Amino acid sequence: MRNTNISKNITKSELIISHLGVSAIIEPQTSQKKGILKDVSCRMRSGEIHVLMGKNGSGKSTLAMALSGHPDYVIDSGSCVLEKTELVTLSADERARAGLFVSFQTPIEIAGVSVFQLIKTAYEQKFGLIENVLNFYHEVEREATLLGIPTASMHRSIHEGFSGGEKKRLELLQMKFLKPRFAFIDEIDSGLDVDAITMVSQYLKEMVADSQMGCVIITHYERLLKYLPINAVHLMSKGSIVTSGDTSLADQIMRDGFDSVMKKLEL
Amino acid sequence: MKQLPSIQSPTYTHGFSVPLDYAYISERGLTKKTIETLSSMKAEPEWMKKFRLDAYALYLQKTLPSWGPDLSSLSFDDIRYYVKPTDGEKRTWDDVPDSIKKTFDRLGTPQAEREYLAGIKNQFDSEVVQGQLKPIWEEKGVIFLSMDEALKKHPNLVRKHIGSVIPSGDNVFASLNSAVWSGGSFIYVPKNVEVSLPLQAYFRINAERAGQFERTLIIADEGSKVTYIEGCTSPSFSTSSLHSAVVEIIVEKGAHVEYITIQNWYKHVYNLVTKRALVKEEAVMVWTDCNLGSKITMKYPSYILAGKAAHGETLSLAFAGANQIQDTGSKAIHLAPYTTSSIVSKSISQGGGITSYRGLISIGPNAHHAKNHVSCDALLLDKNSISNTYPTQRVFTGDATITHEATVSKIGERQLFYLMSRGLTASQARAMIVRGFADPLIKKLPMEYAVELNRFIDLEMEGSVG
Ligand SMILES: Nc1ncnc2c1ncn2[C@@H]1O[C@H](COP(=O)(O)OP(=O)(O)OP(=O)(O)O)[C@@H](O)[C@H]1O
Ligand SMILES: [Mg+2]
Repeated sequence: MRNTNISKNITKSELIISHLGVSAIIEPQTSQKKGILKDVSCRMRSGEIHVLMGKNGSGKSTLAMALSGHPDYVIDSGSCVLEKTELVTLSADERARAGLFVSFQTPIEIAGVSVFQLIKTAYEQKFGLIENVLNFYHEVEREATLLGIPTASMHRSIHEGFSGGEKKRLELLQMKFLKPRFAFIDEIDSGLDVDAITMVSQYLKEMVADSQMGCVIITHYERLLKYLPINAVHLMSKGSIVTSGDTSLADQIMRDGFDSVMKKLEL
Repeated sequence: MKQLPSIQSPTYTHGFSVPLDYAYISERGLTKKTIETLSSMKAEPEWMKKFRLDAYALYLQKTLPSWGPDLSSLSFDDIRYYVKPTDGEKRTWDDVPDSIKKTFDRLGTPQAEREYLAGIKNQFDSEVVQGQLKPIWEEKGVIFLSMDEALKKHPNLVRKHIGSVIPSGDNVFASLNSAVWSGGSFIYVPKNVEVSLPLQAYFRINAERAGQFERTLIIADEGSKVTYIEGCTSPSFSTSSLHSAVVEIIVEKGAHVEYITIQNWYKHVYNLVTKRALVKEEAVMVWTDCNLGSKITMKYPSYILAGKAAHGETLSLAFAGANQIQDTGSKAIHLAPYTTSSIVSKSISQGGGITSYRGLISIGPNAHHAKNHVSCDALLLDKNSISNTYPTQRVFTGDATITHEATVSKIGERQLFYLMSRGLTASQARAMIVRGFADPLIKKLPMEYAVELNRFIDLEMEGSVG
């Protein structure tokens, strides 16, 4: 499965987010909510890597979570179209099957559901029954090894007792097998040691090249970026994307800080 | 007998019944005459008839428990107390009447029999219809008979032990069972014999309004080891049936008994069962108890830890869906020093189902250095479902170590979401979380039963969504 050269057959597709407004549900009983994202627009084509930056609390994770259908968020307005499919009206599983994947900043633990069981079930749901489970298992083990995850972890409960860095890699492992068309990867680099960052960015780079997946990387650091071909950088502030540019925007942010960049842009 | 239409439940795969010419069906309701007829049809010794009639006298004096689920809708007068399908137990499948054979075929029991069991008993309504013990165990002196057969072949053993762990007057259902018992298993494992493969009994209620009152007695002699598995299913009739078993186990010094139950009665069966083991010095008793079906189950497998360093263990899993009450738990009676016990109870409720853990830990004055640990985890799948815990502790020594943990969790919306964000449907996600919750217990079951249990959870979760 790995490195099969499917890239040629993949049709170029687009993810178009337009005028998205999102609220967080504060009190599910009273449906009390708080507006977080306002008028977020952005478009990305398959095979592209975009970077989303912004201060803590600016709304980056909210964007990823709301798009994936997280129950804590409601999309109040706007749309998100993945290859002609409007995602906003779909349930979380339908969005996933339409080709969206989110690698969460803080993924949840589920006792008794093993890493392998989850990957296998999710894979079969999307691609049909696996005929040779043992082969598939070996494939999962191989990918895990490439990501630096001990193969013994395949039988442990998903995210339970895993370190911060391991959790991030487990998210990528799932992404590898689910072969999404577009992915949001939320702070994959926080909690990773230096060597791991090199390893993970190499892995991501190959995956994007192989599968022509489009992806949005949410990050606070340039470490990850220097290994990856970046097509665009977006800056989020107070729930909106205030400016977009190329890697020089990221460089500028890293050098001068958010406030100074914003001031220069008169935002 | 006229076959009544059965209500097909989409999630209950065992709900069929077969039309059958019964050898005997008693009138509804219970009288002295019913018991006398039953005893004489079985050609029982006089002492057993007396045992029954004495128990019946006790039964008439007793009232239903004042605690626990409401049993007022159970109409004892509508039950048929003795329903005899064939004349005599058959040794091989070939001799079993076709319709009964088909039932067990559909339930998949013969397949299970072939490889991994040391012996099997299949009970249909009141009687064991087929049974077998592999010759190698017979040669080692293991006895595996239906209780009725044992009464004929080993009357002294039966007479000595029956009612010794659970006396007829123990509770109203024990009295009832002692009066009308029929079928069940008798097992004797000689000293130091380890029966390496499980012995299995499959209990099937087929006739409508039939009561099943099997009586099981297991004697594991010193240093012996045995595992016994029972499965129970019934047709999906709309009328109530009653299953009220008594299981007595004697675990002699250094012996090890594991008793596994997969109870999956249809949702109109009242399942009111008394199970208790007498555990001697350094002996081990393990109850693995899965209650999935029935309308109301009341069952608290117990052990009397009577010898020094005896150990008792209960692993229980209860599942209650709409209109089901699973009132289960365990009792650990510590009478001797250094006795230990551990109770792990997991329950799942959905669709307004009620699960209750009811437990008793009693540490007697001689049980110094006794240790007990109880852990109860309940998973609620929706707002309407209920989980209760009723732990009772009676401690008469100063140095006992008792720990109790209880958790109640709601099925996490965020966990459901996480799995759905990987493309799993809502019902797949629920099934996966429930299976994960039950996993520590399912892992301990033999393969066939683990598969069956996982399939059960999948079916229930499919039925629960949308
Ligand atoms: N469920 C929620 N309930 C209430 N407020 C929320 C909720 N989720 C997010 N918020 C608020 O929305 C804002 C955006 O949060 P978000 O997690 O999207 O930020 P972020 O850009 O990912 O930050 P960081 O860089 O720290 O990860 C924050 O002020 C946060 O407190
Ligand atoms: Mg964030």
